[in-house]
Amino acid sequence: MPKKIELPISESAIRELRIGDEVEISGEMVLGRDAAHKHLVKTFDREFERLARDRFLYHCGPVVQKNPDGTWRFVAAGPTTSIREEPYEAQVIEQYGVRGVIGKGGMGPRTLEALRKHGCVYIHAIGGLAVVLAQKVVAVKGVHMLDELGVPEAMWSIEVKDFPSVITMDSHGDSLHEKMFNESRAVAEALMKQGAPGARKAG
Amino acid sequence: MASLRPLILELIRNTSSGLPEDVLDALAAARDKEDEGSRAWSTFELMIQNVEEARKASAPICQDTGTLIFYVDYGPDHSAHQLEKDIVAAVREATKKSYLRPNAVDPITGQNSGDNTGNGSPYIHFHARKEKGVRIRLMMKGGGCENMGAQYSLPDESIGAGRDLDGIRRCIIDAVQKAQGYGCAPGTVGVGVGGDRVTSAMESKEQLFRPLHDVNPNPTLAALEAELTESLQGLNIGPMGFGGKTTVLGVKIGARHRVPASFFVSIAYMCWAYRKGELQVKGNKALLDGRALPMAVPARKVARPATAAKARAARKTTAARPAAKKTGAAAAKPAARKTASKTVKAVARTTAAKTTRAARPAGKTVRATRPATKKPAAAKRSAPKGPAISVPSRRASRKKLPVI
Repeated sequence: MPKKIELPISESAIRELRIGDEVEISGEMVLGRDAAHKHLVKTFDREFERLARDRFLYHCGPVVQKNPDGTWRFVAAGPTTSIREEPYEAQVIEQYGVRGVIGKGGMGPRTLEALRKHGCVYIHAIGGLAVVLAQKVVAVKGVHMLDELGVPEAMWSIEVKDFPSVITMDSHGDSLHEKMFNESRAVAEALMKQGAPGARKAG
Repeated sequence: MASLRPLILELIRNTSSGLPEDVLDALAAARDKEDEGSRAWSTFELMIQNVEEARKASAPICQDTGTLIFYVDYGPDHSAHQLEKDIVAAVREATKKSYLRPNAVDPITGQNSGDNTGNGSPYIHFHARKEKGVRIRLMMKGGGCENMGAQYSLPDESIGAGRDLDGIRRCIIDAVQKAQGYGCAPGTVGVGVGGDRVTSAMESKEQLFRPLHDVNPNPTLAALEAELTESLQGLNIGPMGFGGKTTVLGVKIGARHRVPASFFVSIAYMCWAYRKGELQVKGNKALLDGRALPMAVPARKVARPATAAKARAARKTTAARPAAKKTGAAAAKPAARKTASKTVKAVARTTAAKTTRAARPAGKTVRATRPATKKPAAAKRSAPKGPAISVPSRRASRKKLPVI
């Protein structure tokens, strides 16, 4: 059964999470991808800190619709590939007190080290789940730097309800990505040694 | 000849907002192999749910609507020039209607063209044929999985791959293991062996048009496909790389003659959101994925004459859908009803025969037509956990996507 996570969240609650845990996230979090990360490490952004401290940062370039009354609605909100933010993420986690990074594909050793040091987790959302994940966005609370960054890159503040995902890098130095890679490599090498079916019959 | 633009637009909409039946079957079967409530089980469940929700909303199942790859086989009554114009116009319109995300970026300036057209976009592959009519196949392949493709030049010492079947097999195992979940697993693996660098890669993509449960006419390749589809599951990569019993939905291999000096093995990795569609037009009849389409401009959410007797029965039982009355589709119905099943069968028969004739020793395969009688979804989530790991053709426990 998935663990329920309510935002904001404390460091001790984050330290309880382990790789492989299924979670359902509820509460307010903030979006940020390439342009936002570049901006966040260049200048300290107080508004982003307000949106991100003890909350989660989601790597997502959404498709957003503006309602006639001026409010916004998320149409598609699947995760984007996280590894592009590897050069910036450790610094963002440290400076802004982010407790979780949501994306897809996992991240590198610098981020893994930052997760351990500062009490943060990497959370994997399911790629290609554009419609279902957009439905989990129950409210768009606001948007930061929309004019400067544009819709897909702006820092959207959203409220989600039961957003489904999996912890793949935890605050204890473990990475499900690394574990899966190593385990499957051993299986692959054994498979290669077995040889092709025709060749096996002949041998 | 009327413009095919509205039909191609419908092909794009339908392909973007759903998955083919064989892929949905495979995803449902993969879910049913996992323990209910496990991480892998719920991931598959969410994937299927997402497709159903997308179909209901007529929205793209994934925000990455991908590279648009068109394969066009056209007869003497069509011109490639006109078809290209129709396809480009339909792609522009589909982008405007948000069936597609603007996905064509100039690599030098970084500028997005905004309408999915540009130098080499959309990618259209033309093939002239003797028979009248036209067949347009469309594949939409997202960037995440495209990045996980690979091309090996054998021999490749790093994986001990020589220039033989064993070497080919090593390349496929290596590529799937390295792809992990990054290409949105479980993927379907298209493999092109031989050729030059371009035709080898092309063959790997063309293999992805094959239905999941067909059998390669080349017995050597058929055996390799079956073996790998089973043994690769042992990698335990699972959906999105979370771990699980299904790592690939299928392996499809084609071979092309090579020059003695070269030996390429190309891998095309297709994500679970495996979007492909087929439009057939002959005279004034059109079939979309085997289902009859009115030749008039199809409006969204219009009930249109469907293919099977089942759909006809369903029409009798359910009250006439109001949407149909509003448009011209209702008028087209009676005539279509008479011909629909006949045409489907006839077309299926002729295409099957044709493909058989055209089948080369390796690569092209006979398209298995689906059995006409389909059992409705069995008791949900109660499908047996069979020992077979290969992707079954049975309809697993899931709802059939509605036609919208």
